[in-house]
Amino acid sequence: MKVIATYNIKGGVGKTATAVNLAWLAAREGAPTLIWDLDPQGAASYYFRVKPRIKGGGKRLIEGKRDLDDFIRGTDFEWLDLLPADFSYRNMDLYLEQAKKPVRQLHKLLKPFKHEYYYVFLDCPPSISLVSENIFDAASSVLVPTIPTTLSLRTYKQIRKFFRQNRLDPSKLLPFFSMVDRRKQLHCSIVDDSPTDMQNLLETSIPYDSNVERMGSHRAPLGEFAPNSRSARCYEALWEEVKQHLSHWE
Amino acid sequence: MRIEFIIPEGVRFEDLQSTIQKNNRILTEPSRMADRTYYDSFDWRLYLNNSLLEGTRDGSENLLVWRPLKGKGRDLRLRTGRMPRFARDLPAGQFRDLLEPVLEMRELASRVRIRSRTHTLRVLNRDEKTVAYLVVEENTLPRQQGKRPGKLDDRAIIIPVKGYPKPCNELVKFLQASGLTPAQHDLMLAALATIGEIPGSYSSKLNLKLDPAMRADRATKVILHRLLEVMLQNEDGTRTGTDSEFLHDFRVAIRRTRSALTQIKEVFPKQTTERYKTEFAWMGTITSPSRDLDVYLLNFDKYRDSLPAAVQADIEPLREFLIRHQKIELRALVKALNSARYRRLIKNWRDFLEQPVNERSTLKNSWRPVTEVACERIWRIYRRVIREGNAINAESPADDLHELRKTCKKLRYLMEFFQSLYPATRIRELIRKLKTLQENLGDFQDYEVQVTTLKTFSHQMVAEGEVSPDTLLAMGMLIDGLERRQHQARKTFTGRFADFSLSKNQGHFRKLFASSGEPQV
Ligand SMILES: Nc1ncnc2c1ncn2[C@@H]1O[C@H](COP(=O)(O)OP(=O)(O)OP(=O)(O)O)[C@@H](O)[C@H]1O
Ligand SMILES: [Mg+2]
Repeated sequence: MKVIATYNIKGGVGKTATAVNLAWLAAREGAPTLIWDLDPQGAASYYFRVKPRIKGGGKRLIEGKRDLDDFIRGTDFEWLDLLPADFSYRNMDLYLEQAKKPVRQLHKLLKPFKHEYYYVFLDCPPSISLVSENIFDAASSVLVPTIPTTLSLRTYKQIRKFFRQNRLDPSKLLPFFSMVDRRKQLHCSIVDDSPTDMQNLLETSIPYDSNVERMGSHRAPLGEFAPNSRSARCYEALWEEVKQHLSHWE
Repeated sequence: MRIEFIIPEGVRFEDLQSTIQKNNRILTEPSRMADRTYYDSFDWRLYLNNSLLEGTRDGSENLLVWRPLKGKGRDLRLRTGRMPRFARDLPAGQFRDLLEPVLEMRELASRVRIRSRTHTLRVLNRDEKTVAYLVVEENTLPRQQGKRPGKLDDRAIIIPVKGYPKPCNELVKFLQASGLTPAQHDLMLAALATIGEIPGSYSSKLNLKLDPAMRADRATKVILHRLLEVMLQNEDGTRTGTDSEFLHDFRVAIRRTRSALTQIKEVFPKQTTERYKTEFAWMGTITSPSRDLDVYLLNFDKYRDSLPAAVQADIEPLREFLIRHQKIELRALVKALNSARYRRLIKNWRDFLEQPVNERSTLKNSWRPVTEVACERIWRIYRRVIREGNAINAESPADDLHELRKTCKKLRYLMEFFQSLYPATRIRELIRKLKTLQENLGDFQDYEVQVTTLKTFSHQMVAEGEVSPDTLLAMGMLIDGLERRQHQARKTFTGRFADFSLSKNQGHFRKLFASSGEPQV
């Protein structure tokens, strides 16, 4: 099993779009794939037409009283399953704090699926919290969609700093440029002349493309309704590149 | 897990569809023609693993589905460009990780093909999400293996979506009410039966049922006849040369034949025995260069990975050398298999084995019940194993271990020839114990042979020119590693033999094989 998180402290940078499209690509190759929607807003669940509801809520999930498997839903795509969000996830930090090892809970919950799924995607809510610490611990790679602006570059540095301070392996972090708007000069200059302090920067970047927004009205991954769009092609390239960086999960 | 139903004659897909449509939101996918090929190895490894591998061409790609034949378990899928011939051709990933241990080095061969027209209905919920699939298949057998095309059952298959059990249960009820019956077997099995293929029918094992009272010469002919059958089953594959296991099984059958001729004494006239011993020794000789090269190629990745990363690339020219020579040796082998000498051997040997035994034979063992001869031979060789093993100490030359290895092999073959004369679990347990010892001795020998062969190869490569010193250095490192491992095997030997010769184990052997009047160990 390989666990891939999409994460950024900032909101609205393309985390969910990335998780949904990459998970779809992974499943299309025939790899049993799970996407776990950890964001109480439930955007990923929405794209896959699954009700964002966990019986008993996040509390019950963390307490591990019921098998996680009971909450998993098949999507419309072979090999792609989804663990839906629940509105109670907004209190997730509270539940996690009460557990024995608060930062290892996600890891523990995923363990039984070690042989069941080849890829697990974690779609994370923005901000730094106990949830994100769990994600950093559980994931073997953390994809960081980054909009090419000065402020976003600073955010990435903050994430790296957080990793160092918490003795996490910063080589897990895989940033890439997202929502790149070629009409904007700043975007162009940052992408074309990528800053040297963006360690591990992936080569592929995802352009700004209204097709990505249309995922909301289609309620489907890009490849299902705009397979030849530029953004769909870029997600394919991104997936190929990400696969080169993945390590196995212990 | 999919649930399959057989559609009886007279039930039409259109009727099923319109009834379902009345009570459900349905999305009908366009009907499709699909040509599915089912793959397995020559020795049916997937079938024996309770699974099937189905391949469908989809444009320029192949969609592979590997799923359980019976019971629960997850299907695995893979989209690949070219149809893989071996597990090692698959891209890295779960599919390969799980298939490789089952298939090992064997080639995937097409066993049967089915042509289907499929109609898929998706059952949707209020969010237009798919919550179950109903696939209706109209199945036929296209022309294949000289068999005329034919009809197969039409089937309706319910494919559930995880987390949505209700719509499936409703579909099951609906299909049952419509007169469909649950299918007992997978369609592939029906297709195989129709073309007259019996899955699991090949085995390189002897699988004999000998009558203990049978005359020893007749029983020996039964054993040898079975070995001839295995040889012939592997001959075509040996000639093709892609799947190395054909040649392997071919050679094992030859070795066993030679061993039976030598070890089961005084059942056939000396002249006959000697003649065939010579001929089968020749068979051993003509097949051995190819096998040596196969072994190196099969182990090649392991060799390479045992080297430090920096020199791993240096060893690649050895692979090319091996492949080149493998081709040359295969041609020589095929030539030998086409020779008059080989054809004559097979014909005469078969004639001899199929002839009734000589009723006037005066040979000592020919008349005796096979069980007596078997016990006597096994017990004698067993005692030799114990004697030779006991004599080995830290100073003994390597040859002593090789001698012991050969004796063990004789014992193993004898026990396998006559396995059916003894209580199944007990003899199996003793064979297992012997096998553990043999593995150690085999390693010891293999490493030595590999070292010698690698040295020969390096000289040959120099003679053929264009070998870089880096490659030779890398080969030298390989040789070092092998010598270390051989040394290790030698150290393990003492413990292994001590286990094998525990007096408790000796007791088990005695009980099964020694008659009361026989001398003790
Ligand atoms: N490459 C893109 N081009 C155009 N629009 C995009 C692109 N990527 C994402 N979007 C749009 O931007 C919005 C935010 O994207 P997304 O939900 O993927 O980001 P997020 O980081 O998951 O957000 P949040 O922090 O709210 O979870 C969505 O409306 C999405 O459709
Ligand atoms: Mg999101």
